[in-house]
Amino acid sequence: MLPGLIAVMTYLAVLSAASGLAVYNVTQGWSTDLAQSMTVQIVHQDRDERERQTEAVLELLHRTPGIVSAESLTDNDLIALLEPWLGSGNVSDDLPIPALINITISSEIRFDSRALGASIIQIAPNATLDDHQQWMGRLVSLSKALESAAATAVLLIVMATAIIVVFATSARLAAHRETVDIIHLMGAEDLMIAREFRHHFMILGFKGAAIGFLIGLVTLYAISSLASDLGAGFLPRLALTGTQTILMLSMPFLIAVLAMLTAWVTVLRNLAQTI
Amino acid sequence: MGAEVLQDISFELAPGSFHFLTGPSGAGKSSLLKLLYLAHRPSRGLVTIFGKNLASLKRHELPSYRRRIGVVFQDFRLLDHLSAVDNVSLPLRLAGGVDEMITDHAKELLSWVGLGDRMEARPQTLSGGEKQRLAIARAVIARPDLLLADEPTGNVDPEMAERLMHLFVELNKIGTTTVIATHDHNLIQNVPASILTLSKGKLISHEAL
Repeated sequence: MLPGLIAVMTYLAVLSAASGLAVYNVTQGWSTDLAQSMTVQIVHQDRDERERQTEAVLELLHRTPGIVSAESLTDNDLIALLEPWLGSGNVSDDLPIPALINITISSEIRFDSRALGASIIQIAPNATLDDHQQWMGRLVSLSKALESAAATAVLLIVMATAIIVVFATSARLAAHRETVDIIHLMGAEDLMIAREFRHHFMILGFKGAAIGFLIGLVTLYAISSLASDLGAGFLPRLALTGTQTILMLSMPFLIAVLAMLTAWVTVLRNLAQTI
Repeated sequence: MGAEVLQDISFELAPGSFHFLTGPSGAGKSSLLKLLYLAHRPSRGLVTIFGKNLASLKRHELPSYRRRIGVVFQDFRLLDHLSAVDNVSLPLRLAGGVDEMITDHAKELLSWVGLGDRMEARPQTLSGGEKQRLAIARAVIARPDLLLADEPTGNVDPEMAERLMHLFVELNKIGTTTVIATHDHNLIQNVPASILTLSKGKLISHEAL
């Protein structure tokens, strides 16, 4: 019965931990990409004025240290961006489209986007610089909330597992009370008795954790396969770093250790109440 | 706190001495033995064991004292999940003895108490007399400093009772202080020992040897 319960708990812990790590890794990737890119948008009805301001901004950007590249999007690029919403061939020539400049900045220096924004406005009054900070801030908040939820779930699962082991240990101790009393009277020390229980619950804990872990891996593999069937890039892949992989693989062992220590402490606390 | 089971009891067991503890059922013999084998602490009064005041002994100090005491329980209290030889080996294992020597010693003692052919038997398959002999073998195997036996010959025939008493006497000769609680007057008459008589929780007589 106990290995079954521990298997369920481990399964839930694997899924929670994997979701938390996936969210963390994906948002890490996105925010790194976004942190290295900015966009300048120039909105003006007059095409010539728009192009003049675009050239001026491009010239400024090429002179600015820390900017790796700055490229203006062509008309075709802009139409391609609008077509998913307006339909193919529906973007008319007289539709006022803002000019967009994609900027890639160096990851090696801390870039002052506010100063750059001020300089751009001086030479191109209709230009705005978007450094994605607002969107990134929301993304980071959402990611942190999801990671905290996953971590809380793992913590609650660990606590529930410990409580289950406390009850199981107390039940086993009650079932073997007579034996424990006899060897106690024969001079067995508390640690000797607790050691027997510790070993027993470590084995049970590991059995349950290994089963739950394997089922969890199969589930994650199945989800990962279904996600990749939907097309690359639509859903993030669960790619773990080396440390994260070690952490996940050590989960059955950590749960076995948790069961072992919980049983050990439970027995010692129980025995301390006898003479 | 419940009513006091034992009162007005004062005696001393000299090292290496032999005593019978007798009295009617309910006189407090088992309660007195429980104090002596450290299953209980006195609610008041002074119990000194191996020169130490029981009340001042800390909990973690008790196991080493308990290992110096061999007990034959009236209801045997054998471990049903262990074989006869493992039951007998237990005190030596708890004392940290070497496995091979423990088993040899246990087998030798089991043969001596007539259980040579029941080494691997589980206690629940043994008769009352066999269980009693097994319980006695377990109590004496570690050559305790103090041996306490509660009706140790109640379930065996007179011939085996005599043989077991001989075992207690031999153990006593090598220095084990022995206290045997019994109703059996034949047993008491056959062995020269001091007799402690309890009645209604009080020590009513102490006939020295």
